[in-house]
Amino acid sequence: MRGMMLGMLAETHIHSGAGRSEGFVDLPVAREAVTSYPVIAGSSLKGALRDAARERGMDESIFGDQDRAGDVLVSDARLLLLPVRSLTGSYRWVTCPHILERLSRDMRLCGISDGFEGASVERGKACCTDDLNQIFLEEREFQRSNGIDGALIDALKKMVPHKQTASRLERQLVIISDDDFGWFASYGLPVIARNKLDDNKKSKNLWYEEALAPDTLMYAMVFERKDGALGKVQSMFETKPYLQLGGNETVGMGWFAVKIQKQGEGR
Amino acid sequence: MPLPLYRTISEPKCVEGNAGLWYDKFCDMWNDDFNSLGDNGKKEWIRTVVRNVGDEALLREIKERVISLISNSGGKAMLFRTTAPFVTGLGRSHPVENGFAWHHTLGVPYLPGSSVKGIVRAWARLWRNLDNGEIRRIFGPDGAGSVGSVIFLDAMPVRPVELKAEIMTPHYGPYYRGDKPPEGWPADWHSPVPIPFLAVAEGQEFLFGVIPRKEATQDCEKVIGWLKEALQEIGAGAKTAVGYGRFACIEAETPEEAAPEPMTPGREWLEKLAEEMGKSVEEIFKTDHKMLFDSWNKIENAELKRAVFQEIKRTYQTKGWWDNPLTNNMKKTLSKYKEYETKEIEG
Repeated sequence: MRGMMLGMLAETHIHSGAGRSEGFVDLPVAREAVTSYPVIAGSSLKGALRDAARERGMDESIFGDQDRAGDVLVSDARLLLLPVRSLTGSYRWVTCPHILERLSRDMRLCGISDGFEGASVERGKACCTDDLNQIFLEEREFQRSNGIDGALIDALKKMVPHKQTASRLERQLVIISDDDFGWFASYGLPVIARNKLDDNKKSKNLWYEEALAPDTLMYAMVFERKDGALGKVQSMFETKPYLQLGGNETVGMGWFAVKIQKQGEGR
Repeated sequence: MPLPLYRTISEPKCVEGNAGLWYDKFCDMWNDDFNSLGDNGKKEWIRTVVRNVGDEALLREIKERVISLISNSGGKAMLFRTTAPFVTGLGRSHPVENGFAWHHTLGVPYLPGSSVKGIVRAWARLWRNLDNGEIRRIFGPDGAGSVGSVIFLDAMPVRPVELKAEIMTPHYGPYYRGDKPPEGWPADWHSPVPIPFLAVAEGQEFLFGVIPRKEATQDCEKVIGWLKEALQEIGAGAKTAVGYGRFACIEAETPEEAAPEPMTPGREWLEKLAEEMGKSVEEIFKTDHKMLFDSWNKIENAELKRAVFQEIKRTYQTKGWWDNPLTNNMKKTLSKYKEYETKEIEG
């Protein structure tokens, strides 16, 4: 069974929602139950892929129909790099050892060689490539720890669809411990206020929505049950390397730029 | 978890950092009982971000990426300049009591797509008196149901944004609050209350974009016309009744200008070839088309060959040369591509 990896870079805000909640945020994003990392369910991603195939006038039968399973398996889109606001530079791309370990397992599952060492970092410390003593993320301060494996930076660059964006990775990448990262994944996302006004410009309905910020990097895996199905998915992104998914489509949310990586193309 | 920053020794500063993070989370102007900032505290806190905010290189990159997305999706991008101060997000909670809508990662003011859509919809419905059916088709019906035909992207600044401190001074607070007379009369025994707030200065450029949903290109054209009118006439954001939030259209960003396309495998191959030749991709398409064809023809991997072909075809198409070649030689080269297309892709 062959697999490939979709590197997904958010071009706009993304709202893959979890429905209503009772908390301060009326409409939070979907999260993994155990880790609390934002996630896009495989069913949402598959639906978006099917829709993209339809829109491009391509064969959508590879996604199956009521009487027949599809030819492709689609995983959840998993979080890889979370943009977190900083007092040194606009934002940092933050990740943690657990996410990197998962990435490395998933890459091997797709037959792509990972080639980087897992990272390890203590609580309250941050691995990064610059020579600052402290890294400021949101209102928290981290002491600089070791640098970052160059092979890891190269592997991450291959997930990013734009050359110029990838060139910023080295400068902006920060690795913090799993526990520290969990806090940012839970509380570090933008919350957008939405308001509906009446004809006299008085508020009729005010609500708060959580979203993933632009430049969030996620990845998903696609496997084929039948030969040739992967090629069809790949060809969808040859001239239009974008995918829209999640809610609030007509107010500009949900656009990802997609980059595909396949077995033997690790280079 | 590390302690919040203000409990540690180092003194936080924000020079090149995210101005939105600084403005929203680091306010240290509280009075002793933490119930307000006092007038000077508010003014002084606002003053800490009165400068040009945003990272120039990053904003340029985002601009190019947004234009690529729009042109690839058949939409339209347009550049506007503020002709009056502009402020949005005043209702968000903040120690200064007037919030501000910051873009999360870029730390610059922006106008969310939902606001852009609301403005255009209000313009179409209230000022243009359009047919209800048309409004429903383009913007979606009221309440739940089906979806509109046009996508409105966030309006983003294209270079660092100049901010300024503004003051509003309502004289008749109780009247505006709707208190009962006689207290609520708009009379001159009430004291004026100066309220400082943060605004975007005049002359700042923002990029607006619309994308057709399911090929509703004509609707997109209409919407652009309305957007120009609405931003000039009724304005965006808060305080539009006193002249804030007006924008003038500078130019339509033609999609061809969009420089870096996202890296498809085809694009990657082309750029590598250009690098090896020491020429620009543009030049290769124009003068070295024969060489381009030969190198392409040598690709052994069928999938890659197809991907590169798609990219080559698309580039020729955007230049208009696919159907109208510049020279006879180019015509010959193109006919070979077309042969491949009929044989390998359509057949």
